Amino acid sequence: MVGRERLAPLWSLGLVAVALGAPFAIESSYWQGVMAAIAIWSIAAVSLAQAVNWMMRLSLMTPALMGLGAYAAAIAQVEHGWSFLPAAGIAALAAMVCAALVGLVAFRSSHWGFSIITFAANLILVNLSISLDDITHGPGGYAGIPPVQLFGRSLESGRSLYFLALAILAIQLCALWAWRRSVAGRSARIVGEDPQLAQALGIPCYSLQVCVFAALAAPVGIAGALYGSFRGVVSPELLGFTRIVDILAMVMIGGTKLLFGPILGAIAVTSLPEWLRFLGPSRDGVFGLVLILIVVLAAPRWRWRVSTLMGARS
Amino acid sequence: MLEARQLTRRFGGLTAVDHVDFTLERGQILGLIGPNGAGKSTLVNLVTGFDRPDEGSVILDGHVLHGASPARRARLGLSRTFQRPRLIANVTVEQLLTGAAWIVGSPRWFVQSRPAAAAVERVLGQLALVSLRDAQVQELSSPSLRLVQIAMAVLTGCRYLMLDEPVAGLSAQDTERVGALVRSLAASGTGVLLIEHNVGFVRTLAERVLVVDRGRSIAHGPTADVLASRAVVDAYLGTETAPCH
Repeated sequence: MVGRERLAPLWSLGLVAVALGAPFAIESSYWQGVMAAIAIWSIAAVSLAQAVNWMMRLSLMTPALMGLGAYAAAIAQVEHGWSFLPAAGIAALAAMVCAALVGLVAFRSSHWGFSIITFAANLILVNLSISLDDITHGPGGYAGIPPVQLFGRSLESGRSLYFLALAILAIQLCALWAWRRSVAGRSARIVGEDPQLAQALGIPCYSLQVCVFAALAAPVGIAGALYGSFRGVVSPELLGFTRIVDILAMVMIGGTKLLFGPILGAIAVTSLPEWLRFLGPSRDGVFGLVLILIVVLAAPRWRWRVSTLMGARS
Repeated sequence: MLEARQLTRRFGGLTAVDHVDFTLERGQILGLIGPNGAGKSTLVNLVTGFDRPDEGSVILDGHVLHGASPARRARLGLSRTFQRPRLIANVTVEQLLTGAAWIVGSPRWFVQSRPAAAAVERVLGQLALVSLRDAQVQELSSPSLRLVQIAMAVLTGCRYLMLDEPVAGLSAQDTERVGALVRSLAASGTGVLLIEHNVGFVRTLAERVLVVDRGRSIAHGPTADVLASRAVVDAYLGTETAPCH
């Protein structure tokens, strides 16, 4: 155990080097775009994994929070002429408020109830994104989102967006790392593992859970804003059911124990379909099969195994 | 003063706690004994808010705690331990105690307040847990785990503490340490309710004892008198010879 923990800084350094070097090693702008997508999805997946790890609750509304952030940022940029950073702030705020409102209801119920309520909230938001076409421009999506303007530069290439997403991911990881060591983080850990014990200790379980859930939504909203700028358009499809499946797969592959685990999941889920493109129409089926193999064969042996998500506790 | 007035809890046809009264002053140690299934743990659940009484009320320093959550009661100064030690995986003893000390002083979100840090150090010393400070909680032996549970409850800074079988399975030395801690808590003004099967342990610590049997309070008074009374010997101890648990 100790040896592994000592190796952790080395591991992290290696990962950072790979993350920074990769877009220079890969020339294809197409693959640089894929890398940007991986970084964006990593932000959302890391948040979801931490919510599972801290609260032992599985939220199924991550795509809705991301979509909400994307729409909020799009409207701020297109209709109000805001630049990217304040628009991303609005995206974070929108996602936090939404998560807090849903959390106020969902944390009143059991673990299963929590998943079902968040899933229902996701359905409602998908529906709103289609039907409120004055605001969201309906099923066709909200188009015309300008590229990110940062410090007087326009980040149009996949590579530059990748670095922006990577910077945000890095800030998120540092914040989560600090949170794990904070007093409130340790109290939250007790709340997640044993709510009765937490109650006996006077820890305000419910409000702490709602706060943590809302705070974890902020990066998801920002990921949505990045996604909108990356694609230039946000459509209700971003909030849809397939996205829930994708993001769950990322968390299952990466596990919830290690902070960076879901990043590996995001790499697998985002890039596998690209690698499998040569298969033509049977691609999705093969992708599903590969996912099953990864989860069944590899996950139980990995240190970042999916234990918390699959119910098995070490 | 913590006061339970006519507390009653029924489960279907069974009356688990039947109109039980008791008072606990600050600085006092009250023993709660009775055979298995007598309703001791249910009584503690009612007092600490983990269960709702069908009748009766709990009064904490003059305030009637009507329907207050366990967390609210803990913040008002009423904490407890559980009979079965609770396990939190993948944290060290010190980390766990830091989290438990959340409400000591004013809650701090990030860096532990100085009084909280000092309280953690003090309780680690009192329960001889200093050497286990960096041990993973899931790797502790069950006696150590029990001590950690007690340490967590003490760290709430409560004025009234319910200890549910704190020395079950502990060595003589650890029992001694828990006893010393209970005494020092009482000396510093904490009222302690001690639920124990170990009558010897209760005899050495408690000034007063409450005996329950089948949900009813059958004796309540100074320890020596109660433990000598006929009704208690018959209901709980079974024989007239020296009791063992």
